[in-house]
Amino acid sequence: MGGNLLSNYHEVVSIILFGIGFAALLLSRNLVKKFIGLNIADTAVYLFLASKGYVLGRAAPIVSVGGHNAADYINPIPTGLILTGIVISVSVTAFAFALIVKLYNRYKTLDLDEIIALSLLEKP
Amino acid sequence: MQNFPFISIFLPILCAVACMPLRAQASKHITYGCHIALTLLSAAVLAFTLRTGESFTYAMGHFPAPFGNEIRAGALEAFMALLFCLVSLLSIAGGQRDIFRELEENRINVFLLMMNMLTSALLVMVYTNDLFTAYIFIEIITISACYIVAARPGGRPAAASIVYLIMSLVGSCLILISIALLYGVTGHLLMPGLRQSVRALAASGDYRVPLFVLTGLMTAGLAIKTALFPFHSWLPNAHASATTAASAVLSGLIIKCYLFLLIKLAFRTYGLDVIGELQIANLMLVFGALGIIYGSLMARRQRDIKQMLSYSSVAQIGFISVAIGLNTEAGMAAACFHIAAHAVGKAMLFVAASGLSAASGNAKDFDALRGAARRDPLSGAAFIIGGLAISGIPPFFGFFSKMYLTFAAVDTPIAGIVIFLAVVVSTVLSAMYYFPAILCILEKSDKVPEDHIEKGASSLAYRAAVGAFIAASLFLGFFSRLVISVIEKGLAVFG
Repeated sequence: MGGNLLSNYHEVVSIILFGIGFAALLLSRNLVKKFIGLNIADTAVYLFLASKGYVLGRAAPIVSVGGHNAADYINPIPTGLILTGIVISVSVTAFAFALIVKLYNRYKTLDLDEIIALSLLEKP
Repeated sequence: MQNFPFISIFLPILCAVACMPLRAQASKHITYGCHIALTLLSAAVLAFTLRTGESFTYAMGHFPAPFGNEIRAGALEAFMALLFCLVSLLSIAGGQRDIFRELEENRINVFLLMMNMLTSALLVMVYTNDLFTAYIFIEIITISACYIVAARPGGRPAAASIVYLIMSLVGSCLILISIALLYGVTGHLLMPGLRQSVRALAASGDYRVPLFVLTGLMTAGLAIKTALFPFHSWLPNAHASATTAASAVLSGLIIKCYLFLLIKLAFRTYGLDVIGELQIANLMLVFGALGIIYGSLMARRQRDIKQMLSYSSVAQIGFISVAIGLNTEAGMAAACFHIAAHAVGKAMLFVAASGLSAASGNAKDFDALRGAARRDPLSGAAFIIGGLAISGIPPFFGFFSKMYLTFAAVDTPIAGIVIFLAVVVSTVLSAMYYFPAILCILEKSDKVPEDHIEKGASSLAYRAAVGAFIAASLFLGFFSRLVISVIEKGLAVFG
């Protein structure tokens, strides 16, 4: 059991990181902290995916002239997925912060519960 | 013909980009043109797939199967695409007045941009044969859906939008982990490859726990995004505080496309027997039934017409998920029929509610809406048809989706009882909130706010949209046999 945990330390670290991020996303009431948590959780998933795709001792799949032996390279698909995922989380975070700025200018607070309570007082 | 699905995905993206530098009117014309073209394209695909009776696969960039990504179109996908494009077009036309009245002038083109992106993403969810493409477009839906909620000025839409955003991101986080695990145990992202590996794993019993966990995570992620009962909390505020076109598209289409993806996963990658073994179907059944009860009871308590319609969506999502939880082909057909029926019905109700409230000084609570159907008969008729149809009164579509579901449930003893109860309870409960609403708008009202009635409410676009909505919902009711036979033909080549 302990040996498994040690040899799969990528997965273990990514699960711990994911837990930290997810807890911050769900439990923190501060909107900025929530989205920091979200980014930590996303990064943990990327780490998990990257470690799935990595094969010890192989090179990045950049094919130069000559060698075309697939066994020399790591699996490029997870890396491609991670790149896409990073782009997505950047754009989502940017959009979220635009919304947070709008809400802060209106209510002068970052506390989500307060924002919801104040917004429900407004007329629909 | 083979590349029509691809064109219909790519065209709205181009139109969305074109909306960026343009003014409101020009982007409105582009959006209409794009949606009309999409409707025609989808109709052509539907006619083609019905004639050939098979589904075809189109490899993007013509890379062979294990690389690249694919889209696949059969009769069911084409029918859903046609429906989604049509409802989207009609929602924009019906909500046009509110878009121009409620939104700031310089926001309108971005709003229409996001509507185009949503249509594109919906079509991807319908056509894609690749799990990661689905994930990317789920995120595109997240951003555009949150934007169209927040586009309406004021604090409430912005607050509702950020809650929606957070919940959606929790959902997509779960979906991403699930995809990572799935790739880890199978090594595939394309659905045909996934199917082979997943079924081999399920048969051999290897990786039992990861398979169970990842399927649960995927279902939970999609359930959060589709607002299935315990995860519904974001829905009512987000859908009620958006502008009319946004509410109609969000409630009618966006929350359905995840369920469609779930049906696709169940059919195409797992197979119904494996889904049943993993107990996912039973979870859908139980939470769907709870959602029906909760959504209906909450809908009854609302004084605001849009809040009521939003809670009604929670109940109807429960109904669809009960149908999926039956886990048979007939159940899936009933679910698809109800997806179609509720897409038309709920979008029509939201558009009609905007007309009714325009005839009552833009108020949205039932006290002010008293007698609104007398002031605006067309919207009133649409609201009444929609309300009766969703409650399940024959000869409208809601009755037929309940009928097909009950027929589908006859063979399965325990699930059948749950479904029978769900059908009865949902009929009674939805009648409990739609009938008072209908009576309220029909009531003779002594105070007639003549000066409040906005003549612009009955623009040509609005009347055409409401007329088309009524026609579509009557079609779904009177020709339900035809629709269900198209769905069954599609399901036969879906897996």
